[in-house]
Parts: sequence; C-alpha cells; structure tokens
Amino acid sequence: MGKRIRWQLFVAGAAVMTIASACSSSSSQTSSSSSSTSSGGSGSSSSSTSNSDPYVVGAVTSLSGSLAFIGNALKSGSAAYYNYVNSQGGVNGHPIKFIAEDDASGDVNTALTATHQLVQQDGALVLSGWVLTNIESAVEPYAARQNVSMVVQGCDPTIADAASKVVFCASLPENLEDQAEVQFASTKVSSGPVKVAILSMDSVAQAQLEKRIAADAKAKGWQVVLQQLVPLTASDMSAQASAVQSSGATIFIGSLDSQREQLFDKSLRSLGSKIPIVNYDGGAALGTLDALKDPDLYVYSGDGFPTDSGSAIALYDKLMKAAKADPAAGFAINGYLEAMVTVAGLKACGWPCSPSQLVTAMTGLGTVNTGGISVSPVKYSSSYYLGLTGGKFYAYNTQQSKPLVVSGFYPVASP
Amino acid sequence: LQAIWRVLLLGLITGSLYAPVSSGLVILYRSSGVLNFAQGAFAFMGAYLFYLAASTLGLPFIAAGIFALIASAACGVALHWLLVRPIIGQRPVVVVMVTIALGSVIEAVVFLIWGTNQRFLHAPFGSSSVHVPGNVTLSELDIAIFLTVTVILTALVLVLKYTRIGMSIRAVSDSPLLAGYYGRNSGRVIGLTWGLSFALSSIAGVAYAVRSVLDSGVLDLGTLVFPAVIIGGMDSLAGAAIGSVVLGVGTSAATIYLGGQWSDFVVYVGLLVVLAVRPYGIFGTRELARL
Repeated sequence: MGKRIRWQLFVAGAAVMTIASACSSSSSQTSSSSSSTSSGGSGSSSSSTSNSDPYVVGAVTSLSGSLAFIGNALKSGSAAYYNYVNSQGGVNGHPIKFIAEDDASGDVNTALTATHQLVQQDGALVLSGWVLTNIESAVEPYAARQNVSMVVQGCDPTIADAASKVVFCASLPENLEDQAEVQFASTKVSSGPVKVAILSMDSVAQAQLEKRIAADAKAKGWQVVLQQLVPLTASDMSAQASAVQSSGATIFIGSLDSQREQLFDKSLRSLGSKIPIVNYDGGAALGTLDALKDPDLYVYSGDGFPTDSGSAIALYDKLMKAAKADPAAGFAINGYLEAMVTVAGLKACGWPCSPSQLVTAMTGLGTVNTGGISVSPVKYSSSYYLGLTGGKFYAYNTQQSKPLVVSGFYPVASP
Repeated sequence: LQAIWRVLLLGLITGSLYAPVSSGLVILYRSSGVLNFAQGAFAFMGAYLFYLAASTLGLPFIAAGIFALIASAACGVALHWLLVRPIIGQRPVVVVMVTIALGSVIEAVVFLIWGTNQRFLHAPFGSSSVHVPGNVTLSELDIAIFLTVTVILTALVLVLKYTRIGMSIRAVSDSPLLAGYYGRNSGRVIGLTWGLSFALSSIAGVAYAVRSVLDSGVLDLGTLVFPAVIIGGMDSLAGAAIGSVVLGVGTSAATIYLGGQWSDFVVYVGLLVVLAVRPYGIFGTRELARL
C-alpha cells in the first residue's frame, strides 16, 4: 500500500513538474520574445554604448488567470510589431528588447513587483500592456516618481493627464464614448418616440459612461426606459435581455464586454427583438462580431479591424500570422498600436534615451499617423494625453460575411 | 402573474446551467468528504475537451458531447487515482488546498494546450425563439440545455437509486468503512464519483461556452454555484438541483426588478437567511455531535 501511494505521488509530482517546466519555458520565451542581444540595461544607463545595446521595453499584462485571453493578445500584438521593427534594423540603429511580465489578471501586488523588476532590474524605459485601469492607477505613482512612460490601452482620463505626465493612452477613453454612441444611435432610430435601454459593466469607468449616455439621451428628448449595471462576473444575461425586451426599448446603448455582449445579443435576439444594439469599443473584437453575425449590432472602435483595407492593416495581418498569432483576437491590435506609439516615442527620443527624456519626447510627439491601425491618428501634447480622438462603428455585413465599418468618424467627448 | 412566470422560467434556465456543477460538487462531498474548489476547472476542461472533439477532430455536435463526457469522466478517475487517493485521511485543510492547486494546474494545462484566445462553439440549434404558454419567449438553445440537464440529472438519480453501482456509491457515501466490510471497493467507487463529478461539470462548461464564448469565464461557474449547494444542502443531490434553481430565480428576479448590480446582494442575503434558519441547508442532513 505504502509503495503504491509513493508511486502515485511520484507520477503526480512528475506531471506537475512537467507542467511547471512547460510554464517556465513559456515564460522565458515571453521574456525574450523580441530581444536580439542584450546586457539587460537601457540605453540611458550605459555610458559606453554600441549599436547592439537595446532599448528595453516592458509590459505588465495578464498572461495567466481570467484575463489571460486579453493579456496574451496584447503581448502577441506588441511582440509582432517589435519583431518587425528589429528586423528592419531597430530604432535609431538599436534593437528593442521586449519583456512581458504577468500581473495574474489584476493582482495589484504582483503587478507592482513586476513593474519594479522591469524598471529597476531590467532597465525598462517605457511600460505598457495593462489590461485593467485599476492596475494602471496603482502603478502610476511609482512610474511618475521614476519618470517612466506608461503607454496604456485601458484609458482612464483621470490619470492620463498633465498632472501625471507619464501616462499616454493608446485606445479610446471609455468613459468619454457617450456622445459618439448616442449620436450614432440617433441614425438608427426611426421617427417617433425613442426609448433607450442602457446596460453597462459594473466598473468605475463604465458606470460613468452609463450615466453620461443617459444624460446625453435625455438631452435629446429620448426616454430612458432601463438603466442598469451588469456585474463583472455575470454568467447569464437572459434576465437583462428579458428586462430590455419588456421595457419596450426601441434602441439599446451600452458598454458590455465581449463575453456579456455575446450573452446579451444571443438572449435578446432569441426573444425576437430586432432593436439596434450600440456598444462601446470593449466589445469590438472581430471574432465576437464574426461569431454573432448580427447585422444590427454596432460597436464603436478606435482601432482598425483586420477586415479594413490599407497597407498597415495588411502588414499587421501578415506579421501576426507569421508569428502564429491570431490577428482577429480581441486586443491584439491594441498591443500592436501600443508598440507603434512606443516606437514613435523612442525614435523621437534618439539614442541614448533616458526615461525622463522619453517622457519629454512622448509629450512632444504631436500627431502620429498609424496608417489605419487606429481609426484616428494618435495625438499627444502637453495638454492632451488621450492619444486617439475618436473612432468609427463596425457591424457584421451579411452580404460579405464579415464585419465592416458602417459609419464615418465620431469623436470622443472632451475630458 | 405573467412577470412571476417569466422570472420562474428564466430562473429554471439559469439554474439548469448551475445544476450540473452543483450536483458534481455534492456527489464528491458525499462520497469522499472533499469540498472541491476545482469544480469550475472541471467545467473549463470539459468545455475544451468538447472543443477538441468538435473543432479539431470535426465530430458532429452530439458525438463531440459524448466524447467530452467520456474523456471528462476518465480525467476525473485519473485525478482521483493520482492526486486524491494518496491524501485521503489527511486533514480537511490539506485536501482543500490540493483541490485549489488542482484548479490552477488544470487552468494552466488548458492554456498550455489550447492557448488563451477566446473560442467560439456553435450549436446545431438555431437562435430562434420559442413561445411558451404565458406569453414568454425562450431560445431553442436554452430549452435544449434545460431539457438535456433535466434528462441527465433524472437519469443520475435513477442510477443512484436503482442500480447496483448506484447502491455502492450510496453505501460508500454513508459509511466507507461499513461498505468495505460488505465487500464494496471504496477506493474504486470514490474514483467513479470523481469521474461522474468531472463529467457533470463538463456539461455545464459546454452549455456555458455554447451560450456565450469559451474562455476563462467558464471557471467562474465553480464559485457561482457555492450559494446553491449551501442553500440546498451540501450532501443532497436534490438540494443541489433545487438550490441551483433558487439561485437562478433569485438572480433573475433581482436583475429584472432591482438591477443586475443587486443580484449578488440578493443571493447572499438569501444565503444568510437560510444558514440562520437551517445551517445545514434546506435539504441537508443535520449532523449531531455527542460530547
């Protein structure tokens, strides 16, 4: 009996060790995903430099846990662009060393430890990759003290401002998407009384967005017939769909993430409702729209879609596929855009480039043309840290069997 | 009255998503005394096994479901044999820690094999709606999930009650020592319940993924059902099913009448009330301790 238990424990232990070593191998690949050669320090810290000295770029993102599908997509998008830049000779003749660390899907302490490690040990000049704005907020005071730039896709206007100076958005500020959503919604309602149902995820930024949508709708003389927050862990949206259906709403405007968007859309349509659904950019993944195939679901997006035309999108598609990553994965293009913005900043900073020099260079970037990777050019100045200025709406086109842009440019509201 | 009927139907549908996971939790607790914190990971793994069968192997929907059930059951038996059996008899906290670790390991293994991208599963049932009496509309998919879960749980109850293996499981659940005395192989029977529990959870995982999307959100099912099994009673299969429906009705009613942000509040207030009145749950067995 004793022998048998020891043997079972040995097999179990071996299995766990195998998995652990596989994880460890995966992690080390992450750390060197885009590096060419490196001694680990940033250009700024080295007095005698050579062309093989890299710019060190860090990312703290969710590589494990419930948000891993976002964090890994961000990482793959960034890695694809940095690899491409390195293959073209690097930035100012120097390669980029990209190091991605895990924040375990929103663990503040893990994120802070990883950030300290990246800045103090690895010599990262700039950080990116966060999935959650609360992690960004927790890291921001440290980054501000160290003068390390943060290029973020979760854009919170309360930290991306002149008071902080180090936070640069590379996506739409979600709580300022209200005007665009309501204005676009007005093109989808027919004459007669307009009844609006609003559902938003229960986060600080989206609760603000929900209130702003309601205020904008009321200012248009529309009737808000339902206004609710959805728990971030909601595993079912049939009750919400039923409530929207019975409210008599003629249009839905909201901010649902891609999981809740799918649940809600399927539930609402199964009830026979055909009202237009207008959603914020958090549900704007190609895969999501492709899966739902709902021509009356419109999502706002500050990033281009892989179905857009243009050479920059074609290059993105090619690089992602070459890296065996899915170009349609939600947030992959956000990671790519973060990398584009970072590279633009490094180019402007020159070599050597210290963290504070990079902050100055980023602030003075002005307008960066992303060639269609973002819907609007990215813009930074000493009074504007939000990057994107607006986006377009996308919907599934049943004739062409793919999501396509369906609107002109809609700017975000002023902070 | 129509509104109440609507809430009840929505609760039944939502409860049918929770019921397989909560039943799996109760079966394990009864048979081996293990409070399994990896139940959500079982559902997660089961859904990916279905994805493997449907998308990678190209099996039809029903065949992929059967494949996932069998493969999940095998995983459950293997996990019991490798990890649980060696620690039987250890302090409960050790066993609980093993199940927490097991959940993390399963999650990591799934991500290593399939990556972290969201996957989309498509059911052969359309998203078209079905009008049921009382002027309520439900989707074909939801009705299919409800019927499937009802049939499977009914079959499970019948198997446990009327078959030889069911009697063995019940005997081992009541007293492993006594069951062993009467010639039942307790280890083998408990291993079987791990397989059963894993397979049940995988049904919920597949249902969740087909309704929404296959990603780590499936893992949440494991924690979502805890109020259901506490309300129903940790050692009652019927309690787990009814607790799941109560949970579904409670969250649906709170969402419709108060707003989604109140659903957790309503559930946990209900849980506290039940625990205050019947600490062992509505259908649970009262345990007496003689001092």
